[in-house]
Amino acid sequence: MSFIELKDVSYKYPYTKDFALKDVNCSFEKGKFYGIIGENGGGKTTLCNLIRGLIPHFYLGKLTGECKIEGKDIRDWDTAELSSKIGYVFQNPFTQISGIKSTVFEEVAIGLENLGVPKDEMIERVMKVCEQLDIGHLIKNNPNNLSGGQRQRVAFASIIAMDTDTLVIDEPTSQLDPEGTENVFKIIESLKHSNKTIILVEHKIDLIAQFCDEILVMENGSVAFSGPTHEVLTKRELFEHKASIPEVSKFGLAMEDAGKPLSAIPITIEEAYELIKERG
Amino acid sequence: MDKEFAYSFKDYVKYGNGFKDLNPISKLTISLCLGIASCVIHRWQFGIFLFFLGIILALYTRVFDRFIRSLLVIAIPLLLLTSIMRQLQYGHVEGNTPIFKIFGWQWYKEPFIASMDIAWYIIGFSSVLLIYFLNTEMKDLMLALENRGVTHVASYIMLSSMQSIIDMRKSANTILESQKARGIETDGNVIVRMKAFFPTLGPILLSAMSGTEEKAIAMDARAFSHDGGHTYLRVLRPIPVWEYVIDALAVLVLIGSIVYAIMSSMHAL
Amino acid sequence: MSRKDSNRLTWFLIPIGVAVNFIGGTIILLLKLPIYLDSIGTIIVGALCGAWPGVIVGLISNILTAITSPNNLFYAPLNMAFGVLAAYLSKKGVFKKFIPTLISSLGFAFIGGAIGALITWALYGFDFGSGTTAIVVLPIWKALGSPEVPVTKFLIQLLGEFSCDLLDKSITIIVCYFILKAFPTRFLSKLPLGPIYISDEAKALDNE
Repeated sequence: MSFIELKDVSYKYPYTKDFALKDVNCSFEKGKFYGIIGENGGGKTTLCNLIRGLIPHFYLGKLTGECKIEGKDIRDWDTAELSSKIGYVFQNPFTQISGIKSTVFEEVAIGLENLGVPKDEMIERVMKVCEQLDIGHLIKNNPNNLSGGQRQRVAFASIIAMDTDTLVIDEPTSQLDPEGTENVFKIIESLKHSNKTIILVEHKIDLIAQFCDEILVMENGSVAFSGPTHEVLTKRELFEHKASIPEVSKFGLAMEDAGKPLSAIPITIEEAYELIKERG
Repeated sequence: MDKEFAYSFKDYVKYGNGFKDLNPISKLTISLCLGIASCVIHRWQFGIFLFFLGIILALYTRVFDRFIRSLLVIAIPLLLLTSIMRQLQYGHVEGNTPIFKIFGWQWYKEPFIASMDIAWYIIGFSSVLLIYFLNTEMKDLMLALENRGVTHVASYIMLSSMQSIIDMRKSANTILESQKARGIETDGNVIVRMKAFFPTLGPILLSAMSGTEEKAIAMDARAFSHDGGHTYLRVLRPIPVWEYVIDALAVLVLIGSIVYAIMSSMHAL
Repeated sequence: MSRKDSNRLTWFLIPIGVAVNFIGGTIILLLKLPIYLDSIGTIIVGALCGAWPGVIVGLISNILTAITSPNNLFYAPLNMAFGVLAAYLSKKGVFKKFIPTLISSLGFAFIGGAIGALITWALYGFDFGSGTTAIVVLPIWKALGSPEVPVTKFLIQLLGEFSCDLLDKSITIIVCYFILKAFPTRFLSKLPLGPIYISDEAKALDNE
C-alpha cells in the first residue's frame, strides 16, 4: 500500500493568483528513495510542505483534492503527531538551529526531549547519531557559532535522532560550500541503506541519479514525469524539456542521435563506463 | 567523541558552588523577598545591609568584578542626583538641621536622610537581583519553571530572545561596517547619522522577521508542538529540605518588613 | 485549520521583537544619536500579533535589561503598555496611513509620560526622580515658585517626561510605520493582525 497518496491535488497560497500545485497525482511507497527535480517555482517545496502537513495546517490557502498519509486525510492529521512520523530538513542551515541550546549535544536531543524519550535512551541515541553523522567532535560546541555546513549536519542529526519512518529533505545543499555539500551527500548516502522512505528535492542531478529509486519531475505545479529513475532520466522528452539530466545521459542521447547508440542510456558515470567498455 | 561529556548529562546540573547550585526558583524567591523587603522597609540601613550581603555573595560566587561594575553604574548617579535634588528642593525648609557644607553650600540632615533612604533601598534591591542574575543561567531558571508546569513555549520564547539579541547584534555590526565600506556616512551630524539608521535597521529586521517562518517550520519538525509528555536532557538537583528552610526564612523577612512598614506608618499617624 | 495553528508564528515572532527592542538601542548607541528607540519591537509585535504578545515582548525586554540593571524592572509596565496601545491602534487601522500614525505618537508619549511619571513618583517617595527629566523639571518647579501642592509637582513631572518622550516616540513610530509597510503579504497572512496590512489588490486575488 502507498504510504502517501495524492489524487488531483491543487493548492493555492493565500493572497496569490496562481496555483502552486495543479492536479497533482502521485504516490510514495514505504522504504523507497524518491527524488524530486524540476525548475525553481515548479512546486517542489510546496509538495514537501503538503507532505509534511504544513499545508493546510500552517499555510492557509485553498487545498482541493485528496492527500492521504497512511490512509488518513492530511486535513485530519495533527501536525504534532505528523512530526513524529515525517522528518523534515530544508535549505537554510541558520534557521534550523533552535537557538535555545548551548551545545550541539543538547541541540541534537531537542526533538527527543519534545517527544518524551527517557533520558538514558536519549543520551545513547544522540551519541549514536553524532557518531554516524561524523559530528562527534562538535558535541561540546555552541551550535550558534558553527559554520553553515556544520549547522546543516547538526540539523540532520536532530531530525535523524528522532528516527522517523519518512524523511523529507528539501535542497539540503543549496546554501552550502563544496565541503559542506560533500558532507551532506555522505549523510544522504548513509540514509540510502536505512530502510526509511526518503523524499529528496535536489538540483544536483548526479546525486539523484545515484541514489533514487524513483523520480518525480515537477513543472509549473504539476508532475511532468514520474517513474523509476533510469526510465525518467533517459527520457528524450525530458532532455528536450530543458530539464537537467545527467551529463552522461546527454552523452548517451547524443550518441543515439549520431547513429552510434550505446546498448542503453547511462545515468551514472559507472554505468557509462560499463556501457562503453562493453562496446570495446 | 567526548564520551565523558555526553555521559555528564546523566548527572544533575551542578556548578560546584553552594549558592549557584541552589534551585533557580528558591534562589529567585530569596532574592525577590529580600529585594521587595528593601522597597517596603525603605531605609538606608537595610539597603546598605543588602549591599554588603551582595558583596559577600559576589566574592563567594566569584562574580565580584561584574557585580560591582553593574552596581556602581546604578548607585553613583542615584546617590548623587537624589541627594542633590532633595537638598535643592527641601534644603532651606525651616527647622532643618544643618550637617555639612560642600563648597559653601549648606546641606541639611532631614532631606539628606530622606534621599539616602530612597537611593539605598533601590541599591539594596538592585544588589540582590544582580547577585541572582549573575549566578543563574536563564536556561536553568526556565527548566525549573518547566518542572513546575510552565509550558516549554515560555522557555523557547525567553531563551530564543537572548540568542536573537546576540545574532542581531552581529548582523547590525556587519551591516554598519559594510555601510562604512560602501561610503555611507555613519559619522557626522545628527541628521547624517539618523539617515544611516534606517538602512541599517531595515534589512536586519525584515530578514529576522521573515526568518521566523522557517524557524517555526524547523521547530515543528522537532516535535515542538507535541504535547504527549516532555523529557529533559539536563535535570536539576532535587531540592533539599534545608533549601526550603532558607526560602521560608526569606519569606519571613518579607513578612516582617511589611509588619514593620505598617507599624511605622501607624506610628507616624 | 485551527486557530491554534495559525497563531503559532506569533511564538516565534516574540523573540525577534525583543531583539529588535535591543538592537534599536544598540544602533542608536553606535551612531551616537540622542534618543532611545527601545520599543520598536514591542510596537511591531503588538501591531501584528495583538496585545498579549506585545505585552510579553515588553516584559521580557525589561527582564533582560534588568540582568545588568535591576531597577529597570520597575519600568516594565511602560513597555508592556506600549504593546497594548499598539494592538488597539492597529485594530483601528491607524498604522495604515502616515498622518494618523504620526499623530499616534502623542498617545505613546502620553503613556510614556503618564506611566513613567507615576512609576518615578512612586519609586522616589512621591517626589521628583533622579533621571535626566529631573534636571529639566526642577527649574520649572522652582520658577513657578510652587507651594507644596503635590499635584502641581506631579503634573510638571508628567509634562517633563511627556516632552522628553515625544521626540523618541515620534521617530519610533515612523520607523514602525515603514517596517509594517515593508512586510511581504505571505508573512502577514500568517499573523493574527497581519491581514490588516495586506493590500486590497492582494485581498482581491484571494477571492478569485
